[in-house]
Amino acid sequence: MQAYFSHSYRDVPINTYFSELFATAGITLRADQKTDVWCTAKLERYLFEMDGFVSIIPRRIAADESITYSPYIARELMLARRSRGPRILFVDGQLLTQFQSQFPPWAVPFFHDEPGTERVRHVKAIDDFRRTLGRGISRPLRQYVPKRATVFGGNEPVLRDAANHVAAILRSEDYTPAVRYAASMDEAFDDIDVFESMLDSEVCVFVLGKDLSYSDLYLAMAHAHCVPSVRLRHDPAATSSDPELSGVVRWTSAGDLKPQFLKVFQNYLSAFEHPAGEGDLQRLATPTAGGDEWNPADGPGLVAHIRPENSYVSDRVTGVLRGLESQESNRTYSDQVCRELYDRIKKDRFYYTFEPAMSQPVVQRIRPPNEIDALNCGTCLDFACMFASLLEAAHERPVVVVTRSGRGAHAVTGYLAPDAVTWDEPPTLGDLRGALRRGEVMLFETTGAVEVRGRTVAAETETERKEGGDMLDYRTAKNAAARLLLENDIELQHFIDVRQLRDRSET
Amino acid sequence: MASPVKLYQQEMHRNLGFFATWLPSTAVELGDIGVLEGGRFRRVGSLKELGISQLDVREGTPENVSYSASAKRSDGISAGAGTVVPIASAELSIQFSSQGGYVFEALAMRQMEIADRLALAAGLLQAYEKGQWQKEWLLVDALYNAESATILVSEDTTSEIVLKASAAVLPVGSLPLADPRLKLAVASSSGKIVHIVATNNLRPLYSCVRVRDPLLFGKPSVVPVRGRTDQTANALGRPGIEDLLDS
Repeated sequence: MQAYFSHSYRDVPINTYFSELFATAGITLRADQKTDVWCTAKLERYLFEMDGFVSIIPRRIAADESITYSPYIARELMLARRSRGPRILFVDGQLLTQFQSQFPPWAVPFFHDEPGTERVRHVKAIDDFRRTLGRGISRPLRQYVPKRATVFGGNEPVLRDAANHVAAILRSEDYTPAVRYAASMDEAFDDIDVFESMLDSEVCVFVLGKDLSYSDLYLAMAHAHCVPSVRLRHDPAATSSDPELSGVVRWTSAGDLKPQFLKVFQNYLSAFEHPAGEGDLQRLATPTAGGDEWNPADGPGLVAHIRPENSYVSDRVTGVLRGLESQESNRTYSDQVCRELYDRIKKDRFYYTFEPAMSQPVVQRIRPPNEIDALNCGTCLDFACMFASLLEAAHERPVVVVTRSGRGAHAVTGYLAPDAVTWDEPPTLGDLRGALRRGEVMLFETTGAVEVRGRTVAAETETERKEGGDMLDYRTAKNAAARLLLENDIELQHFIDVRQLRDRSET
Repeated sequence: MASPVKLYQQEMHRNLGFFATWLPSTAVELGDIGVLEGGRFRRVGSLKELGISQLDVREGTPENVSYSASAKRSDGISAGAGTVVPIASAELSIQFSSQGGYVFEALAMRQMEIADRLALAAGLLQAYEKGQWQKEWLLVDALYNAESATILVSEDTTSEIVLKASAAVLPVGSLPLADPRLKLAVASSSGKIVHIVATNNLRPLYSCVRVRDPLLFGKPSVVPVRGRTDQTANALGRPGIEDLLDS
């Protein structure tokens, strides 16, 4: 018995709790590797190829500190309900109370801090679900011809050309496409051949115009029957090529149609993973692509990943500096700038993730700030470089410190005080400890500004994380970084004085 | 092979990032000017003697500090921060198992530093340009003052020191070696050990700065930072531990 696992990537402890219950019940969960591509067609495909649907909906804290939940998980639940297959839903109890009308009556609550509080009830619900799957009372498997596709195009020349372009791409991927158009509403409603072609296809592609057309009627039929469908809508004024929550991908010209389509289609073709424990769930939550390479042995090379000109960085810094009274350069002001930047990033509610496995172990990928923003997550090094970018853009003197200890490699960021006296050679661990004691260097745990659930990252304590709502306040983040540098087994790998390195490269 | 003193200084620098004063009882003041010689700070003058006006001092909060290496207390448990050792008598022995083995315990150790390094840099640059400052000179810009401290450094590969407390009442648990109320004194010793026992107002740690050589680093250039020049970043440099160890 296997079921699609709809879940929030960042909530590893809650996911682990439930996945263990399902494993005990003999139900295999299959989940999607986190990527930056939202592919509705893939989900529509697997809803019929799996026996059931499991949804875990935890809370999420919005920028205004209110409780909400992921619109993507909600969308998956809607698709599952429309497919009418066996399904089970667990929702954070407080969400269920606050948004009662938005959830079906068969939703089962859990307490977010300790989901095991209602373990008996959860086990019973899963048991009932397993019996439903076992009795075979699911809708019949969808019957279709593998590798057959139907492409629906609009009647305008640009849409006809685009539909044929998509058909050519599908043929290159060993699919057998048929291209269809609807000339009238009667045709759209009554052409049974087209309807059967749609239901018999493994996947449909809708190439639509900005305005509703007869082809949209076919899309509505496919939507109602949960036929896997890629939705491409021509919109010359579109500003984003990312798939919308509805699954629609907007393309602006013939030139960008192919890459837009392929991005979604290749995601559709990728297989689901089978998480067998916390490690797998953590791995699923870690996006595999993205970022630029950095050789961990090349400390100065880290400067290339510090980008004060990045648009996300400039947005954040501009906002923060606007709210501060300009002062003379001194320690107090530098700390105030750093604190404001830290608190601002906390509001974006990123989450911490591990470094994706690399085919070449000698390099590490570092995501630029706008990619962190798009993916909503990052590693300690991603955030260390992002904060260094923010500090540099705010005219402070950022430093990045890379360490190694029994728990592995770690990176923290900070700044040199305006009156700091620095070294002629790269500092040793002792030099850095002295600078910390003299207040010439200030460091903070950058992952304190992002959510980390159910664990610690570096030298912060579990209590500190809990008190900070899975994050750390600024003062605690500073304490945690200082504590890290004072650990007995800590080794200093790199101390990157960004300004010094930039000055040297310019001379 | 490094000398015992160098090993002690290297360890303390790694622990705290400051240079360990040698001998530990040497008097060091903020604003002292000197050179490093044989691991010692040899004073040649002061800011005041150079005609640079008295700069404000910033003081930190007092803390108790305990470090040791290659040192074992009399009951067989290594002396180290956080170790609780039951007292059987008014004596305790510390055995050192290598050269440079040490015990450093300080009570109410407080950092003191020159508060305005920018003003300091300006003053030193002026002195440099007037020819009053020698390029090999260093200036003590921060130090630690301990209300009371006990520092033991073994100069032999094996050595032992026995300390006896003569206070009327002894605390239960770990004996704080720097506590002057215990009236600790050396009862006996074997092997060469430099020992400072529960001595008041020690300056066991310091840090210093130098004026950077303009030939190597260019004339101290000014980098405008929000309208204020930041001369410190280029004008002054901080010597590393190798400068002390190789002196």
